[in-house]
Amino acid sequence: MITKIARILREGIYGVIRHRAMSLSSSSAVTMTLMIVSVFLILSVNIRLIVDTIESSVQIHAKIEVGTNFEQIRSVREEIENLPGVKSVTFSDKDSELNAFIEAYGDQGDLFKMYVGDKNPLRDAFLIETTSGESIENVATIVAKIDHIEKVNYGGTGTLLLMDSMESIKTGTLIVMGALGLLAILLITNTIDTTINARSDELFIMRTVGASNGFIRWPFIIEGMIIGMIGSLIPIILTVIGYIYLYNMLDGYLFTRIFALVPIVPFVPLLAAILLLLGVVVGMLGSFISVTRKLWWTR
Amino acid sequence: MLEFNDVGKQYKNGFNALYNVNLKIKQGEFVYVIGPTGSGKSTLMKLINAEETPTSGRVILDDVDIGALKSRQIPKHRQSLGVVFQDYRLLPAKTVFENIYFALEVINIEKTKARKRVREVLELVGLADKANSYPSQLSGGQQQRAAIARAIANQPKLLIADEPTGNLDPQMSKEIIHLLGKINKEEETTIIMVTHDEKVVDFYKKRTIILEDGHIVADLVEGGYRSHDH
Ligand SMILES: Nc1ncnc2c1ncn2[C@@H]1O[C@H](COP(=O)(O)OP(=O)(O)O)[C@@H](O)[C@H]1O
Ligand SMILES: [Mg+2]
Repeated sequence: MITKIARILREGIYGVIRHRAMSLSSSSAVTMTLMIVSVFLILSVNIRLIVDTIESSVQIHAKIEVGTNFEQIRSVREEIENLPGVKSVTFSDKDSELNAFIEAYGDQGDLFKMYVGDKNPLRDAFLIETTSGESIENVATIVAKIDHIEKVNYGGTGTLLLMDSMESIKTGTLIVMGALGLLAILLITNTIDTTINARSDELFIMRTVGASNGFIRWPFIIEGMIIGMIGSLIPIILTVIGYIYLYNMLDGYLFTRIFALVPIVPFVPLLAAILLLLGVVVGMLGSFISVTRKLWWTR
Repeated sequence: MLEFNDVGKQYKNGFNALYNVNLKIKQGEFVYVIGPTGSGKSTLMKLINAEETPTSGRVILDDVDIGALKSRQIPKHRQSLGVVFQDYRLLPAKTVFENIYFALEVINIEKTKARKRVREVLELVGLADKANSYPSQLSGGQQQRAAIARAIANQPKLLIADEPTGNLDPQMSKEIIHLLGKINKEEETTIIMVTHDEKVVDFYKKRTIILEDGHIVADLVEGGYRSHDH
């Protein structure tokens, strides 16, 4: 068993070294694909984060009628909490509402400080977060009909449109990600196929000498893994250096303080691990597929 | 040990390469198969190493019906066989030593024993000093001797050689025939050698089977005729 594994590893490594030119061309196919994958992953993960930030910043603001007592407020809150699509409900009394108002106006907020206390014209309110952008409209309509709710506000159709486009961005990135993964496997299988095609004589000779398919296949699989590993090195290095540089240069934010970039840790190590794994798995699959296909036609 | 019983072979494109071949080869024999190009000599060899299956009749090696072997049983069958081709078929990325060692690894021979056997056969074919060369660094004759060394490394009961001297000059051809004769004697290996070079056959006289258009037209035992139907 140990001798068998030792042989497979040895033959796999020899295979890479002794077919240097071919190994290099296969590796560079892996390198190119993984570069694209890496750039896309960085973009999509950051876009997702920004989309999530925007989505969660949109809330339904439901004003409560004046004179509603504690008991009633509690039962209304429970009712809202039990609605489908509601993530959280926060009660905000009129004093904190005013504070939020003052803060939102920044420097000019001081003008409203005169309303602090008994003269506060605002209402107590619920701040409702929904599980997704899509459910905002629904939840808002239902909440508006609940007793003791005076008025519901969520930014109107502009917000809804924004939410819609956010959702399509999310599905869009998912689709592109899937397509890219497929493309990676296709491209790499194709390259490895070419190199193994050039070596189909070898497979044939091995068969003639009495080697079984398993005996022949395993070293090639190891070879594919090594090639994938080598091919992932440059993308990993560039990704790590590139992202850390970008993150530091932008100070961790895109355009404004609201849009934070995904923090370096654990994102970058994770990305490096994903690229390595992708390289190895794809190299292995590519090898496996093309060798198996070749052996299939060899008696 | 080897028997062809009424063997016919028709290729998928409809071409009939062999008709009603009947043949018996005994343990320890040295047999030539000769005939013009396209007469079916290679087809005959391919039936023995299970590269092709007969369309009628049976090829039997020590009670094994070769044509009936399943794909996954073929490696085992080939491990009991030595095969030599006109174009050597050495693995280009392996040294001579590794090429021969590969054939022993396939049958799972213990490491020190395998290394010893590789040196032994290299000695036998006179390539001991080329053990670490790659095939591309050797002459045709040397490559063919390496291929023969690989074929006999696992002590096969039967060695088949399809035009092993086809790419070699007369001097080298003689050396190869000498070598095969030596293997036949010293290792007691049964040998079937295909050639269309009648000089070779004259130079080292052995039983000779003549093929023409897929028929066995003669089976001569070292100069004398043996019975044949066509
Ligand atoms: N795979 C094949 N498909 C179709 N015809 C073949 C195939 N292999 C050989 N033949 C034909 O069978 C005949 C015998 O071929 P072969 O056994 O190679 O002859 P030889 O080795 O005596 O030159 C030839 O006419 C050849 O064209
Ligand atoms: Mg031939």
